[in-house]
Amino acid sequence: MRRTYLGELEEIVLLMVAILDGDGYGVTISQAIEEHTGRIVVFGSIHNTLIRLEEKGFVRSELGGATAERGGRRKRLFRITGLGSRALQEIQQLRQELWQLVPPVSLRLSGL
Amino acid sequence: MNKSHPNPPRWAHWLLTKLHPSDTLEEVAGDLDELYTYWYHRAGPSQALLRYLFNVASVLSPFVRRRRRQQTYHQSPSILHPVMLRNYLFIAWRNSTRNKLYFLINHAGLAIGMTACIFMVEYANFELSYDTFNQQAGDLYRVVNDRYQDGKRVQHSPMTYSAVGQAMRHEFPEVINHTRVAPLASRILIADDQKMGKQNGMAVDPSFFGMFSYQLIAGNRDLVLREPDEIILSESCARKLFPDVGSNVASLIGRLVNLERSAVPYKLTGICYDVPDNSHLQFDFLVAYSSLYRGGNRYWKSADSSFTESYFYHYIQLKPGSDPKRLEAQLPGFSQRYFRGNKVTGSTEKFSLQPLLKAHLYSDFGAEIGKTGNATIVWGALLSALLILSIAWINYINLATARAVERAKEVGIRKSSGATRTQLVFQFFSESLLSNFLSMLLAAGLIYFVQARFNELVQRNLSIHYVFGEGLQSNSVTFGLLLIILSGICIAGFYPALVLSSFKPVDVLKGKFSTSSRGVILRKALVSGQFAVTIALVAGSIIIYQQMRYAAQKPLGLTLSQVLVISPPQLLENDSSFITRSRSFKEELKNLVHVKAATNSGRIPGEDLHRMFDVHRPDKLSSPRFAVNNMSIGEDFLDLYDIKLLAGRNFRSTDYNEDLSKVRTTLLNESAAKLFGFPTASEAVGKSIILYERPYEIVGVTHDFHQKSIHHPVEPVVMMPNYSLYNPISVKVEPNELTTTLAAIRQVYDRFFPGNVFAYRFLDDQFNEQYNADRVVGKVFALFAGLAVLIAALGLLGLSWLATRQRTREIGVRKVLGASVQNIVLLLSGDFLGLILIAFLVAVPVAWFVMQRWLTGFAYRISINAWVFVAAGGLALLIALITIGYQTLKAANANPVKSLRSE
Repeated sequence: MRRTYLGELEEIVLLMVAILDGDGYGVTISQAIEEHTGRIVVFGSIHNTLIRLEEKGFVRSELGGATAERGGRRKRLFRITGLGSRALQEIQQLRQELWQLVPPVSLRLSGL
Repeated sequence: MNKSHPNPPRWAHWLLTKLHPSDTLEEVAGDLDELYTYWYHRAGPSQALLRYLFNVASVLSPFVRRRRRQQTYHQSPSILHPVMLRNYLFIAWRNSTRNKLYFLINHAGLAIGMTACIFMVEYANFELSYDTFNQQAGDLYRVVNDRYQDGKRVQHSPMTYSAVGQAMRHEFPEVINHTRVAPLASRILIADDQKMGKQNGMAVDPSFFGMFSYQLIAGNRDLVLREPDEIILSESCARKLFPDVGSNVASLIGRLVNLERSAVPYKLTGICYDVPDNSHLQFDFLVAYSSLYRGGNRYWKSADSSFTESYFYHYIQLKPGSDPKRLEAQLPGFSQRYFRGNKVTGSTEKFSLQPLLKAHLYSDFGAEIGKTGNATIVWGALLSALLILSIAWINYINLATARAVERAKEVGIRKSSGATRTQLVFQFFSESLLSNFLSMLLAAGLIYFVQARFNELVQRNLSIHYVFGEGLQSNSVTFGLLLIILSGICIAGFYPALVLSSFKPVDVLKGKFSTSSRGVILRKALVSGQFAVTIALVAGSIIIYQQMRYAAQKPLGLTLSQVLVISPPQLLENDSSFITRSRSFKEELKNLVHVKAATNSGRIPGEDLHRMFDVHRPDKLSSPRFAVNNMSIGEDFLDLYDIKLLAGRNFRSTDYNEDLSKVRTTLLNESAAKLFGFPTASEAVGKSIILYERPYEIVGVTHDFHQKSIHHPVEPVVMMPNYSLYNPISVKVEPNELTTTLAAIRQVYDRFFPGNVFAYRFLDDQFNEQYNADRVVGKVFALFAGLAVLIAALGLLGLSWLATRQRTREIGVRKVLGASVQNIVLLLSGDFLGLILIAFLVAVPVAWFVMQRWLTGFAYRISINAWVFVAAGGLALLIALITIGYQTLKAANANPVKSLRSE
């Protein structure tokens, strides 16, 4: 089967959804990205990425968890799907395989 | 402000609500608020505001991704999915086979309408394509010369003086080329032993081939016709004249051809392709114009550059891009310079230019040399064809919407099982597309089989090539047709599709469905429109028929039946004994058993007469100048044609003289006597008039007679006692034993004029050819009227059939409650009859106006009678009654038990 392509930001957002395990929504995801990678990503990009991930079937979402802080509005909470975790695992595996192929010398030399 | 729950600016929030998709607004707005609070606490209000605004902007309309609607439970297949297409086709097929009548009405109507439309476009395109094959057609103009005497127009014609073209070219730099054209009608060509009569030619300048695009098979188009006594033949003419030429006509170049009695034979220097049908100039041969005045055959000195003799036609070519209006504005000055008011020719000459491309369709000229058509008729026919097609489309729309009731259930079920409106619109639209396509196929078949008959009807050699052919310059009509057909198909398809797909499934399935009143009103308006068109076409064709019958029955002042016209012995050399020879030939003919009379005359009825200007009376000081027609006649002319004398006497044999300058007598017709100002006919007798600067005694005055068709008014005619060997001979014969009589006449002819070509025609046939175009119009309109009646009746049949079917239960209930059959028939047909009344009121003024315009083409015409419209309306009503009648009677007589039982 053709591997579904995941962009870099898509991969990070998907990872964050997996990390937050059901508590992931726009705010927590952008905060987590900032916290873990130091990157400040504009909210619109995260929003669009989440929609795209959902269209691809990597995450699913539901509305819920309104708080006063949000003016009583509900959150859209995301959860990774089986397909999504498969995709992440495949990427991980592919990376691993590629790492195996790198001759140790080349990395060491470049590291010097 | 609450420190722990700071609020972002209101306007940014407002912007968000306006420009963010509504389905994700809630979560996004919440997230942004939460983030704002987070930043507010971490980095302070200004940072928070900045970030907030930046983030709001990132989720506004053009940047934000829209959430697609979730379709997890049911995903409707694409409308183009093969399964759906198969289903649509199947349903369309099932519907059309279930309702065979409906199917037939739709397709027969559409196919007939399309066929009529395509035929008419062929015809219109052909008529509009006249002279477009000339590459420089846009720069070519014909010089029109109107003549005025005492402020009255006495001639309106492209015929003018031979020097005009040269003078124009000399005066105006924008005139870059010109050619003179002198028609040589009905001549005899002779080569070796072969003689061919009735060949029409023209004498043209060498520039002719530089201006027009007639193609040569052989000969150099840049060099031909430069020398006098050169001739060019058309291919078919050449093949007939030289039957043994074989495949290579070019080998004929250099051969000699005699034109009647030409002193020197003409040298064949070119062969041209036969003149295309769509050329207003038609010719079998061309001779060098200079042959008229120099070379071996010169006989017409004034043909070169005369400002007084006017038998010539001029075509000029303007510099590309120059404005003909500007040139025309200078023509009054031109006329003044060369004609000095009426000093030169006795009349005031006014010149104008007619574009070559208008020469065919817009000719109302006297002495016309080209083939003429009528633009009003072309556009009228095109319009009628479109109207017929729209009647057919109206049928389609009406029946489809009226049938909506039946299909509403289908729509309801489709909708409740998940069909979207787009899908339904597509389904119904593709159904109508299919219908139209099917009708188009039918039309194509129809065109294939009926083309020949249609060509016979309009007397043209038309084919589908004239609609879709390449290189057709008048493609705009084809384009217009395609546009109209396409938009017609779209409207006829979309409207019912929109109506049908708009039903609410819940209502429909509950049975609470009823057609909207707006739809019903539209349908009624469309039916009215159909019948208006029908009534107008029927009335129009009745009026055309009446006018044609009037033309046939109107007393012309002369009798044309049983008159043969024999072509004169054109090959005979003239000598001073021609009067005696003509007389003895006539006497010999009269001795034949079935010949009643014979005469010769310069012109025969139906032909244009020569015009004379500068005619006046001697007895009045400074008498006004008159323009009259002139005709030379033999002494038997009045008797043979049954033209009555009002006063005075006929010509006697002593009035004739070989020496024309010794002829001193003349006959007038009544109009001429009036024109010259004689109060009564008898007062004119014995007086003189000045013709050719000499006095002539008026010996008699005749009744007016129609020299031409009743399109033209009776004109003043001056008749001269004059013989010529080259005048046609009219012979009045008895109708019995015509073949023997003809053989006997021929025998006498051959004895008197050996070596000449004997040819004859019946005068009434020839005269009636003037009505050919009118007869075609009459037939086409009658055909259209018939088609309109047929299609409209079909539509009405379908509608009434549906209406009665849908009201079966209502009828049942009414009958049970005591309604009589009459009540029910009235109920069902009343609607339709009202519509026909409205149609009648719309049709009458339109038809009246259009037909009045058509009738102005006749100098003598019927006045339009009210009963014509009554008859047309009555016919429409009758047809409507018959078509509705059967359905309504059947419905009214049906047993109510049957219709109510099913409930």
